Amino acid sequence: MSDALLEVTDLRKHFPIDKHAYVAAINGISFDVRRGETLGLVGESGSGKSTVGRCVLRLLDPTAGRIVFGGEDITTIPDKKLRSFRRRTQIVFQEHGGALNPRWPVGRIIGEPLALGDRLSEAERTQRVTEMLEFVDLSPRHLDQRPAHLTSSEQQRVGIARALITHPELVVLDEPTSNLDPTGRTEVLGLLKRLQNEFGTAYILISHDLMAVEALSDRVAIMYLGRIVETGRTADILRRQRHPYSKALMSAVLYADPARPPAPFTLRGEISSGVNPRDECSLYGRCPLAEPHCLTAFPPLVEVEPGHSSACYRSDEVVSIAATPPQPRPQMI
Amino acid sequence: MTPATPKRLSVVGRAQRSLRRLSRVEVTALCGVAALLILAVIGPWIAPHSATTGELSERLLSPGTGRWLGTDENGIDILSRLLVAPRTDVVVALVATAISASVGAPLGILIGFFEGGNRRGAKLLGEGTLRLLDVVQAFPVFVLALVLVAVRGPSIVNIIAAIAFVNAPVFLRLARSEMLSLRERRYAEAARAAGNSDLSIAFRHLTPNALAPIITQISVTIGFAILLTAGLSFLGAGVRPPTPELGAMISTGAKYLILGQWWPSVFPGIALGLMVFLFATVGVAIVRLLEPASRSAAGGADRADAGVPEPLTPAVAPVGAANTEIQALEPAYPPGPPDRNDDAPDVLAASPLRSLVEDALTAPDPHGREIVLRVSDLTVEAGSGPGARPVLSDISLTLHAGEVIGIVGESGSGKSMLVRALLRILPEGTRVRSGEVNFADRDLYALDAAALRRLRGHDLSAILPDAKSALNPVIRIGTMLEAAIRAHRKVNRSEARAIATGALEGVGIQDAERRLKAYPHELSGGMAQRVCIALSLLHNPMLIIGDEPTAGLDVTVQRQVLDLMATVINERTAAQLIVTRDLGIVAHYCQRVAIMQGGRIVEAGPTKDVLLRPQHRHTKELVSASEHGHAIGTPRPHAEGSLV
Repeated sequence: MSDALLEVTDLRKHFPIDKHAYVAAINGISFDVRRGETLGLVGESGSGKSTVGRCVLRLLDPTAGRIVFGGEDITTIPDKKLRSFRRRTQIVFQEHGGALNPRWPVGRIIGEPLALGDRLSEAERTQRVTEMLEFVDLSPRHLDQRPAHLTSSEQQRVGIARALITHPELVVLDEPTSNLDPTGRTEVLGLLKRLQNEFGTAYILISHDLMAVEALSDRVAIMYLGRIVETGRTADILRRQRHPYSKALMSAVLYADPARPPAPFTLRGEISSGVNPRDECSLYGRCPLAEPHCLTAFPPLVEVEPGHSSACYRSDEVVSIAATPPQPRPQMI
Repeated sequence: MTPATPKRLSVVGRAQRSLRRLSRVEVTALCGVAALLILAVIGPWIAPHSATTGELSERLLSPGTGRWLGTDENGIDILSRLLVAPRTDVVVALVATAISASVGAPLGILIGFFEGGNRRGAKLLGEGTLRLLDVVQAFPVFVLALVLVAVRGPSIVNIIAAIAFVNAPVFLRLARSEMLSLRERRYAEAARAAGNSDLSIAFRHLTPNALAPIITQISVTIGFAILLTAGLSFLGAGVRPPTPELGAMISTGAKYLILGQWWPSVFPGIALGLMVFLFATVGVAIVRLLEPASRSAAGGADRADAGVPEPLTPAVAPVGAANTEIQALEPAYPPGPPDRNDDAPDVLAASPLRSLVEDALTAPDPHGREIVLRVSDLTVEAGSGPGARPVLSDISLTLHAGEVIGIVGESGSGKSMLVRALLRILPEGTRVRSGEVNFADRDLYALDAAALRRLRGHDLSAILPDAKSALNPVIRIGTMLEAAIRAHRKVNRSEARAIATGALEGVGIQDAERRLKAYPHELSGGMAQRVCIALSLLHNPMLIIGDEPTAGLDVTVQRQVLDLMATVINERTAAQLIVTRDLGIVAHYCQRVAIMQGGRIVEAGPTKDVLLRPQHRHTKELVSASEHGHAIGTPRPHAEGSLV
């Protein structure tokens, strides 16, 4: 694919626990991101989605796999070259406040990526910072303030301004809207959209907030326990899930509309630990569709319709099944 | 309290503002240290007599009699000696501390930063240095210093070297441990992602944030170094008389104590204590000055509420603005209790939204259930005197048995403050100005401590957000449950255990016996939240207050927990008050809802009415911000103001 900005092949990241045990945070995933598009990486905590974001930016070193950025293999390039790569990529964190140095004023925080690379004069830099500040709907009076004085939405917008001031080609957005109030979330999503239109930046949006994903993403990859279980165009995935996990995820969304009761499709229990994963479907214990065959090997990600793949042996049945398996009813004391 | 117009302050202005953050003792200590430093320079010039020579005829004069603090055994004026002594003690301590900090801290920063990274060499080097320091620090500091001075001879330079040597490891360890934790912060990662080199991250980004504890340590060390200098001199291994030095003065004066001539030793002793105290206090003060001022520090109130922009000024701007909209749209909303429908227009004319809110929240229950909670005109204010400002205004609501009400608001809306007011755990600096909280026909704020204790956790229980940190990490689940059971019920341990097992099974935890032995960190988030629910249900409470009960849980788990709360609590006909910012939870789990903004309830009513036909501007904002959800699954034209 010639227009791919980022190509990730069979990426793995293991965190050793001791000599015999490791956690497979990423367990062999492949995807690409084209210039100017947004890929949504969706999953719950423990799915490995944030680890993917960090590996792709080489903030973590992957255990195996290949990362190609702009045609160049960056999987193992040395530190010096890495820094020029860093100028073309950026990251926005979930912890809006925690990602900003508490002792630095906003102006210095936003201008830092510029100060590191571009040989700009002090005046030019201030000019760029002020422009950026305006772009993210902050006013010049914020320049001298410390992060603690800002609201959480303002802090997040400072983080975004810092990430985009060098006009990077790829920005990883790690849960950019969690912990924000609903109105703050709308502001931030709108801002990200505008910035993408303006600068043509590609985003990897890591989130479990499906509304954010829907607002920004062109394509979505759903992750569960270090693997991509379903991927496709956003509209397809949101409308017709072909994997039980995705289906449960969508069903769990509570609409702010009392007339739309939550969908009845649910999973049992919680995500397991990911220690020494076996070669079987990782959803087995929780899935209402599970059958013995699911234990033979992890289901491969196969295309079920153009541009839409699912890693489930029973992906055809997922669409039609809506009923919840009978849940053990909690006993009263 | 947001600094709306931050003026560029002059240096003096900024210094004044900073000083205001300090207590009186700290300001005094700052002045004292400044005086000491000045004294160290000008001491010999202001001393009324010679500090090194005296007339033997004037030896051991008692205080008063022309010599304020008396004279010592050589007839030297003690006051003069005290005025000159800081020159030795303070300067030795300052120089020694400066050396140990400037050697130890940067080394510690480097070791800490690189040790935390992935380099093996750095790890080995760090490890090696630490083991070496272990050996050095294994000796008592005083003995080590004594030996060093004994070997090299008692000169000022040697004393400084010895004190610096024994203190440097302290700084190294401190800086290292600070760095180890700071390098894991998000902004360190952000700095790396921006393309900073390691050294730049360590020194430009992280070091300023590590300074606070280092500075505290510096001031403590200065005090300690003064003591050490005095101690060495006291033993004769430090500064020798007649050079004025406190330890030597105490040492030579001590032998006259027995003769009743206390002044040659007691005055230097007091001076020594005072100096150590001053430096320690100043350390605390400096740290306070260096802290980036936070909003809470500025406002003195709860952080969430400090962010309310112009919260509760008499001009009820948002409400007023919404009035016209309401009248234009649907004048009859909401249908109040039937008997009052006739005079509704009058009420609307008087103070429309207020009365609507009150009607919707305090209307009699159609099912005739008993009232569990009645809040009437509750106003809570922060601060005192003329600066007091309300953080909750005129909150009125009624909650019946078996009813679930949702309180919705963004951060700073006062919803957490409301929870605290209902549990009577208002933060310091806030108090109820007017109104009443009536719980099961008792005025909550009129109860004494014992009655309140009987109430809490028994009739009134709370489920807090982030269950994992709400549970004490070092106490097993079973112990925690048993303690909660036995706090309100007279049962023995095995009975308590049986009840605890039942309680866990009641919230759908399988294998309850085994779980009782678990520590909170061994549970997943959803499991921990179930334990919290079990805790809150132990005594069949009449009211359960859930403050963001599913915050931090994954969506699929959130569903399980909410369903559990709904079934279990409904079967007990407890009333439930759920505080959240997620309208989705409200839509499906609450019968009524109150929307809060700026410490007021701005709209309230049956959930359906409020969410489907929002009237107040803020409610509309919230509903439209949750709107994207509608489009998921079934594409439909986006509402006004949405994104895509």
